[in-house]
Parts: sequence; C-alpha cells; structure tokens
Amino acid sequence: MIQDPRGVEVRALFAAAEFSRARVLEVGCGDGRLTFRYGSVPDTVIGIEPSADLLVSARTACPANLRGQVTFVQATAPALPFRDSAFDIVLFAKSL
Amino acid sequence: MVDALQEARRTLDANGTLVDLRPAICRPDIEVLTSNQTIVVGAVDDSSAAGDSKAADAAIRRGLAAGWFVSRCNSEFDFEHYWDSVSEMTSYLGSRRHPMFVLPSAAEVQKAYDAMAAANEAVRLRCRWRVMLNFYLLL
Repeated sequence: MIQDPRGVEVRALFAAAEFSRARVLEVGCGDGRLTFRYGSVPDTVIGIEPSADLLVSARTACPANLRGQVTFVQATAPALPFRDSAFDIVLFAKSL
Repeated sequence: MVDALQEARRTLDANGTLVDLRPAICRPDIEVLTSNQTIVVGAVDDSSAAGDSKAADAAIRRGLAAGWFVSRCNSEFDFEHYWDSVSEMTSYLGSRRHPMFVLPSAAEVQKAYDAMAAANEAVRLRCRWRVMLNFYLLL
C-alpha cells in the first residue's frame, strides 16, 4: 500500500503552522506513518498511542536519524502524562 | 473528546496551536488505474466513522464556545491511497478503527479489477479521501 505519495498531507501541515523548532505532541500516532514524514523538522516530537502493538511497530520502524527527536509513549488523550505548557503544537492525527 | 481537548489545552504553551487532522465522511470512489485509464469501479462505505466525527465536531464547538481556542485557519486536501490488489485494499479497510466496506461489493470490484488487469500490464487501485485540516490558537 502506498499512502500520499506526493506528500500533500505534510505540505498542508507545514503551510499552516510553524513546525520548525517546535515541541510537538502527536495524539494517536499509530504506527508512526505521519510522524516519520514530518519528524525531522520540529525540535522534539512525542507520539502517543494507546495500542501497545502499534507502539512496537512505531518504535521498530522509526528511522535512525529521527531517534534523537522522536519518542513514542503509550498514553491516551484524556489523561496526558505531561506537564502544563509542555508543547507548542498538539496534533490530533485522525484521533479526535 | 472534550476531556482530550482540555488536556491538549493544559499541555499547550501560551499561543500554542491545536491541529485537528481528520478525514471527511465522504464515501470516496474506488478507482482502477492503468497507464492510460482511470475507471471508477466502486466506493468505500466510511459511514461507520460518522458518529465519532460528529462528536469531535461537537467537542470542538464546545471548546470554541468556552473560549479555550480560536479558529486560525482551515483547509482540505485529497489523501491518496494506492493498493496493488483488492485483497490488500479490503484488508486495510477492515483494519481501520472504524471498519470500512467496499461498495457495491468486494466481489464486484474484483471482477472489474480482473477485467482491467487482463487487458493491461500494470493495474492499481486508488481511493482519494477528502481530509479536513483545522488549526486553532490557544487563548
């Protein structure tokens, strides 16, 4: 399966918000598909996902060059395990 | 969903941005593509996601009415999926959080796909989902 070969999704994200140097929380990161596409741009990305299986997939598939910036955490949106004011962008990726 | 928005609000820094990226419930066409033709052979029934989508809209409206966020901008785009076989497509659709189904049926789409494949070297399936992208600024 090929998804969004022309990169329309990430271009749309970047067109409307400043991801460069941002601290990003991606809610519902799944297997990291979207995360890996934009993850090199922000300062840090934390992807949360309730499914342990999908988290294993995301951590396994994470490109080596993103492992310093991107972290995957098992968590749910109604109870985020982060302090106040921790992020510049909270992205609900098909998860709201 | 309102809880999720309240948590997002708590963890966002001053002037932070909330991004809501969601597919529209749009019953996208299923197309078979060859090197010189694109033919619609069916559609995807994505209506099982309608309830959650309406609930998400309601949660956003509540957040806006409560003054948590202000709408900053919105856009839409087509998100393309390509598959090499009907079984690959139906497996993907069935694995979604809200399972989706092929219309009129996977068997009918398979017939159309097989007919195209018999006459062409390279054949693929495509769906183009309308995706809504909304940005909100934390107040």
